[in-house]
Amino acid sequence: MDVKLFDSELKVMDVLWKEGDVTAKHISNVLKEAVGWNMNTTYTLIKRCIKKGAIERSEPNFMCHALIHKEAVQEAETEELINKVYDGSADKLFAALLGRKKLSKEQINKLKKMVAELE
Amino acid sequence: MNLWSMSVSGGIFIIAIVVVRSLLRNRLPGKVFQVLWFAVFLRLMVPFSIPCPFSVYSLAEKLSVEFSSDGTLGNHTAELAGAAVEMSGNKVSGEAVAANAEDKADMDLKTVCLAVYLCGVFLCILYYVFSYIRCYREFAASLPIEEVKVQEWAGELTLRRKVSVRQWEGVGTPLAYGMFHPVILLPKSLVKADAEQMRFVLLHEYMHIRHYDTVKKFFLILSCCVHWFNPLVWVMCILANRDMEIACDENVIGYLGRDSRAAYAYALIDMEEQRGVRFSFGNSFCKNAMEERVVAIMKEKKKSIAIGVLSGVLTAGIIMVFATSAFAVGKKADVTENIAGEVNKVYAEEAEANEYSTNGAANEYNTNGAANEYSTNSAANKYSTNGAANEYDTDSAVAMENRTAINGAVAIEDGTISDSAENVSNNEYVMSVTVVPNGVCEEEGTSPAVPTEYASFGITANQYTGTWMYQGKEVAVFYDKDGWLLTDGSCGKNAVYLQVCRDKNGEVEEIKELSKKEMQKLLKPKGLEFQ
Repeated sequence: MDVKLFDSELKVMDVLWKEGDVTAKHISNVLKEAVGWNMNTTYTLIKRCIKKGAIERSEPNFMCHALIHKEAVQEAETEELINKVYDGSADKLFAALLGRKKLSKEQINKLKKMVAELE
Repeated sequence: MNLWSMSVSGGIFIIAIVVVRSLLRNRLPGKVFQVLWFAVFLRLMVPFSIPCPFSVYSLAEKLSVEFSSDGTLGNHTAELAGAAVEMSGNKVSGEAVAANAEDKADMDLKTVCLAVYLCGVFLCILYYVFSYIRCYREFAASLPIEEVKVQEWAGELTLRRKVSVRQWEGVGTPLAYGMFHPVILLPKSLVKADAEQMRFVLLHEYMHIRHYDTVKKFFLILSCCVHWFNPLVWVMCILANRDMEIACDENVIGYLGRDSRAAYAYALIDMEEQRGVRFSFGNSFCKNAMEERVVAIMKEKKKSIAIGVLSGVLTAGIIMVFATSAFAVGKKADVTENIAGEVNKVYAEEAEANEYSTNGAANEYNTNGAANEYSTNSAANKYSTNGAANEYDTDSAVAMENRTAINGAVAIEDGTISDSAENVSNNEYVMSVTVVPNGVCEEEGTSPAVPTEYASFGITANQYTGTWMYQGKEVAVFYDKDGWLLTDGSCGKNAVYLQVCRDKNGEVEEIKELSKKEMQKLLKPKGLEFQ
C-alpha cells in the first residue's frame, strides 16, 4: 500500500520508526525538542497520519503504532498541499491581486532583456 | 465626520496618489509612497481631520464662494432659494400621507443600508480571520532548515526580534510572517538553491520583517474590511502592497550596494521561472507588477540630498492638500463673503441631509386653507421657511427676504400657519438652526442686513451674532403687521420687544417698545406663544 506523506508528517513517522510504539504525548515532546512544534501542531499531524492510514491509534494513553514501513512511503505532491492550504486563503487573494502568477517563458525573457538593457 | 465622508475623502486622496505614482514612480524613493499610503489609512480610519487653508476642500469652498458672490447678495439668495426649490422639488408631495410615507421609507432604507454595510464588514473580517488561522496552523508544521549554509546566512540577520528561518513544502514562494516572533518560510525547492540567490531571498524577507510589513498588511486589510464598498480602497490595497515590495527591494539594494542591482533583478526573475505554483486566476495586473518591480530596481536613483528634500516637500504637500479638511471660510473675509460662505454651508448641509422641511410646510399649506394665497407663488409653496419671506416680497420689505432665506429664521404672516413653524422645527432641516421652546427658530452666527425701512429707525444687526439690535439692546421679538421675528431664547434680560406701527400708506411710522407681557398678549391671538 502506498501512502503519500508530506515532510511534516514524515517527521512524525520518523519518531515511530525509530522508537517503536509510543504515546502521542511522547511524540509531541520529542518533536517539540527537535523541530519546535507545539502540542497542537503535532497532534494535528498525528491525526492526519491516522486518516491516511499510516498510524493506528490505541487506548490507553493515545498509543501510536506505525502501520507502514519507511520504504513504502512516497513523497506527496507538493501541489496538493499548496492547493489545500491556499484554497480560499487570504494569501491566495493577495497573490492573485499582486501577481503571484506563473509567468510565461516569453514574459521571463522579456524581463531579462529589460534588465540587460537597463544595466 | 461620518464613514461615508471618510471614504469619499480617502478615495480622492487615493486618486491623487495614483496619479502621482503613475507619473513619478521611478523618480521617487519608495519611502514616499509608504508614508502617503499610511496617510491614506489614517484618513480612512480616523473620524476627524485637521482643517488646513491649503486643503483641496478649502479651495473648493473658496471657489464656490467666489462664484456665488459675483452678483449681489440678493440675487445670490434668490438663486439659492431657486436651487433649493429645485432640489427639494422632487420631495414635495403636497400630501401629508405621502410625505410621511417617504420619511418612513427613508428610515427603512437607512436601516437596510446599515445592515448591508455591517454584514459586509463582518464577512470580510470573517474571511480574513479564517484564512489567517488556517495559514498559521499550517505554517506551524514547518520544519527547521538543516542546511548549514542557510543557517549561516540567517545568523547574519540581526534584529531585536529573533528571526527563525524554516522550510515548508507548502509555499511556492518565500514569505515572512509573524509580528513578534518573525519567521521566514522558504519553499523546499529553494533550500538547495545557490548561495547568492539564497542570500537575496533571505535579505528581502528580512527587510520585510525589519520594516514591519506584516503590520502594514494588517492595516491594509483592516481598511479594506471597513471600506469594502469602496473600490478605490481595494486599489490602494493592491498598489500599497506592490509599493511595499518595491520599497523592500530598495532596502536590499541599499544594503548590498547599487552594483548588485542587476544580479538581484536576475535572481528575482529566476525565482519566478523556478516557481511551480500556478494560481488559477490571474490578470494583466500580474505581469505588470513584476515588470514594475524589475524596472524599479534597475532605475533606482542614487540617494541625494536634493531628491530627499524634494520628496519630503512633495509628501508633506500632498498630505496637506488631500488629508486635511476645509478651513473655515470667512474668518478674515468681509461681511458679504461671510454671509455667502455661511449660506453655502447651510445650503451644503441641507443638500447633504436632503431633508428639506418642505414636506411639513407644504402639508400645512394644503390643509389649512391658506393654500391659495401661497400657491400663487410656487417658490413660497415649496420653500417652507421662506413661505413668509415671500410675503415680504409681495409687500415692501425686500431685504427681509435675505434675512429669512439666509437664517431660516421664521417670519410668519399670520397665526394661522403657526403649526408649520412647529413642523419646521421638528424636521431635520433644523440641524442648522437653534430651536426655541415655542417652536420658532432662528439660526445663529450670521449677520444679515437689516431692511432699510427698519434701519432708518435705529435697528441694526450685530455683526457677529446676527442678532438685531435696538438702542444697544438685543431684540427678542420684532413684530410687524405682516410678520414677526423671534430670536432664540439666548437674549439677555435687557432684550427689547418691538412693534412696528405703520400708517395708512403702509409706511413705517414708528417702532414701539413693548414690555414682554404686552408682546405676549399681542401675539397670543395669533397663535404663537413664547417664554
